[in-house]
Amino acid sequence: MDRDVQAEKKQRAAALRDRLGARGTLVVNLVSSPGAGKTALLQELARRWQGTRKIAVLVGDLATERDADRLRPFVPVEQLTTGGACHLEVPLVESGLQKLPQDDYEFLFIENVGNLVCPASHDLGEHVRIVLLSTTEGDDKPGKYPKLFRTSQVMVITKCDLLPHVPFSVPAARADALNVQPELTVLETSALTGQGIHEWCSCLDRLRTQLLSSPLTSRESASE
Amino acid sequence: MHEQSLVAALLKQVTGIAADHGGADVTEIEVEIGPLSGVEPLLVESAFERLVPQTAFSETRLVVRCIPLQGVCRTCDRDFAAPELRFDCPLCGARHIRIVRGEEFRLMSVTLEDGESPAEWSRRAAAPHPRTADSGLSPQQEGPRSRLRLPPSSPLFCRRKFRHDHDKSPCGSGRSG
Repeated sequence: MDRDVQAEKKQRAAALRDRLGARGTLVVNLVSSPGAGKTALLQELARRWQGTRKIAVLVGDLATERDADRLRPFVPVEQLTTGGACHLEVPLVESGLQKLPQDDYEFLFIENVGNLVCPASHDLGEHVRIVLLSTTEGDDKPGKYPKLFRTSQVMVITKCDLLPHVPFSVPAARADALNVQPELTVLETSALTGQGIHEWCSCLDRLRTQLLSSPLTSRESASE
Repeated sequence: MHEQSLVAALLKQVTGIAADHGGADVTEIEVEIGPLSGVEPLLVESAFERLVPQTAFSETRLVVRCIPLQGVCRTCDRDFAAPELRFDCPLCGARHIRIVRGEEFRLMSVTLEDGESPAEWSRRAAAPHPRTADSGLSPQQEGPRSRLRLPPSSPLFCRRKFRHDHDKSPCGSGRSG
């Protein structure tokens, strides 16, 4: 006997990934510690892509609809409140998906519960996992929370506008993360000033092209 | 702290296995945890203790085994094992490694109340209605365990029960495996 304890949930996650991928939807699992700026980054993306990309968002939190309220002016969004749970699991994602308006979305973003630990161990059916690291958290986090960085494909350094005021070294954070995951793509952004948001949008378009065969139905070069 | 939901998934899986084998009582569950599993062995044990009272697993022992990380270096192409988490090759120092073992939280064995060795089970499974002659009952009347059938290649590793001593947990306090 040798069975993965999460075999059943992994199968459900794989089925969800295949089902949404076949419909042209790239599923993105956004993970970070609380307050790293997941919602702000999504707000910027949603603003830029309004009317050009079909996107939907599922946001996870222990309580309140605050994140959903921030995104609702721009995109279809469902808040997943976990009660006390520290991470999302695939059944919760499936139930949120059923509540969203049914459409062939090009991107489905799952904003996970703010936590650098538990979300690392749970496949939500995503095609790509993106971890955010804010400059206020410290540049030593990738090595301290290796599983999450090891299982991510992209790291977005957020709040770069604060770099003059905080002891955060972008090269050190990058080196620490690449030590854990040498194939990580690293972006530097600020949702406040707009720094790196174009690259953030382009990166997502590129990932969708790489990971899904179905082409974008909306206007090309719409990330500006 | 996601260990509680992982242990709940574990118990669900074991419930299914026990049901497949006639609903036999489970005396022991053995799991393997790797350094990159994202699962903390001590928290698994405490989640187990919290979840099992008043369930069919209240008398079940949990054995947690911590396994080392095993990898292959993408540069020197050699295999290595490391007791703790690392992301470079201990042989040549290169950073590009492929982890082949150590990311798992796996169920390794389940011991049922009337546990037998795999060989004994295989032998019995090969014989038709093994207990019918002894009990004098038909398979339908005899109870669920008489329907137990395991092909020789069955993944279920069934052993005789033994006492699990918490202090002698393979993880120990250092959990270095």
